Amino acid sequence: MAESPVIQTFELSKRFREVRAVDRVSISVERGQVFGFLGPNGSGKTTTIGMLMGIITPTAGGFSLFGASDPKGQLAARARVGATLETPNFYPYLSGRDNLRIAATIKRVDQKRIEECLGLVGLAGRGRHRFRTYSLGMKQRLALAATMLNDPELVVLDEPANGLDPQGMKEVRDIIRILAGRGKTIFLSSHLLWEVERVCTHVAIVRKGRIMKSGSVAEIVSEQARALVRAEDPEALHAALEGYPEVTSVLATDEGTVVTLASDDLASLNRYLAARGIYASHLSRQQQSLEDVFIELTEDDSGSMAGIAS
Amino acid sequence: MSRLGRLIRIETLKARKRVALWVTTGVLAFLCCIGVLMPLSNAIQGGDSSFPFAFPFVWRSALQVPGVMGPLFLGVLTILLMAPEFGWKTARQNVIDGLSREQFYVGKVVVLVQLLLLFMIIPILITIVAVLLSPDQGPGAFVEATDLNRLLGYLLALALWGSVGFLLAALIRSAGAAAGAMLLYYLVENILRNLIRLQVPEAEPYLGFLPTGIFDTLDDLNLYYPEMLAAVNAIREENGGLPLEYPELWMLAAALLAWVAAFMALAFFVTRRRDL
Repeated sequence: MAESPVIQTFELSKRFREVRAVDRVSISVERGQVFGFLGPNGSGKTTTIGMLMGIITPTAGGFSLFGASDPKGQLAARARVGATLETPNFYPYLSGRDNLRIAATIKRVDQKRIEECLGLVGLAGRGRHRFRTYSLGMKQRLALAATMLNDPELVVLDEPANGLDPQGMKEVRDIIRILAGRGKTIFLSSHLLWEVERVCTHVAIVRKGRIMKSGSVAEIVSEQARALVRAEDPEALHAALEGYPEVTSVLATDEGTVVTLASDDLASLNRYLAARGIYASHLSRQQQSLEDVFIELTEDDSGSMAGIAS
Repeated sequence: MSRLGRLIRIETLKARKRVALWVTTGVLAFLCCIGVLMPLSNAIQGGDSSFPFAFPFVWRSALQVPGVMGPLFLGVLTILLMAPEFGWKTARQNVIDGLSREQFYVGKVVVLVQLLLLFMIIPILITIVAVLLSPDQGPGAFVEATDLNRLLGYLLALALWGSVGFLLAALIRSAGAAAGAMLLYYLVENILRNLIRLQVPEAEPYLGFLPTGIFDTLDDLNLYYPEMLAAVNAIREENGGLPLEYPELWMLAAALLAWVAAFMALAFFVTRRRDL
């Protein structure tokens, strides 16, 4: 029998009065994947994770955790999960160690694990200090330590690099890689795309509560081809490219004209231009990044942000 | 560790380092000490021997100060220990870590029961210590049935305000606003009760069964000690007044427990349904 996905959502939806925060989200996260859940701020990432973790009640649809789709089974399945949402949530008047003691008791974990996890995130020397005296970076590390207490099969991290300096980000990335290397499934929500691209095997891009695209990172970045084209008459080139049937976008840059194509066939593009009397002085394939795909899919949101800023 | 044992351990870990817990219980203990200090000092100086500072008479005055303050303090303390869990988002983290919402609720009920016991023990313990220091001698009995009723009345009042605080913490989720709402509720219901009493005199027997009405009656010594009530009524009769009448203690207890059950059930419903 095939193994159930670690996370599977079925048309999962959440409405807050008039706002549709999550709209029929269906994703599947298989064992061992490092799954990036990407989206601009307010796109429904945390709400989706909140529903998976049982703190937000869905208004429609459903989900399964380790194959369990009933509340009782999901509660039991959460014992196999380590998760932290948004900002690290701890008791400010308690020490880091006491906070982990509470988490360890809830998770039914041997108290010995507390010291191991504090050491793993570099907080062994600060465990007796109150949480409220920690810097944001230390709070994030403590959250990671709490997440790993029960040696979870599924690690859910919501913006784990928030507030961390470059060194801290690298450490988080290293921890994620170590966990992935141990066969853990990781569900990572972030808007730091270059971070995600470095560690994730699969992604889903969410916008205004809806999944815009999902699949393996390799598939997504190679789905569309990009080329840099230069010619003697840039305006004529631009006009000709806009008429090319395979084109999805044309953008004039300082370096030349960047064209996004539905297929990778640059020879056909060259023939098309030559047939129109435009001879390319430069034609090269450009590697598309996850950030390019993300911006293309969510550009309305960034446009509105620019509008607000202006 | 059993499921309940685990919840007790978790809630004890959370509560034992809360400054609010120690400040509130410290103030209650201080008030209890003030309450017994004067009669004890009288007894040491050989004061009025018709009311010796000894068992069982001492129970009549033991709850004079904490009788009102204790339950209100308990309500506020319940709010202070519960409501910040929502602001700090630790309630949501507890659920993420593996508690069900029902278990989170039961954990808080455990805290409430612990606080009830603490607030019950403090005045009793201080009274016992004070009597041990007193040179007065009583007739020998430690406690009488009427005194036990008085102590039961105090326990019920604690349960009432504890449950009010519990509900408001679950509903409002902000310690300051919930504590303010609790005190406002106490004032507003008292004012409304008096206004209705003036406007609709026939409603009088029922008004005493509203939460604050029960609370006021439970703190009245005349409810527990018939000879006190007889003395008060004799004075009222001399002055042409109507005698005071009180419902049976069991009726008040039943009405109060119904309120407590309603408040706790509503808090359960809210904890279960609302997003964290």
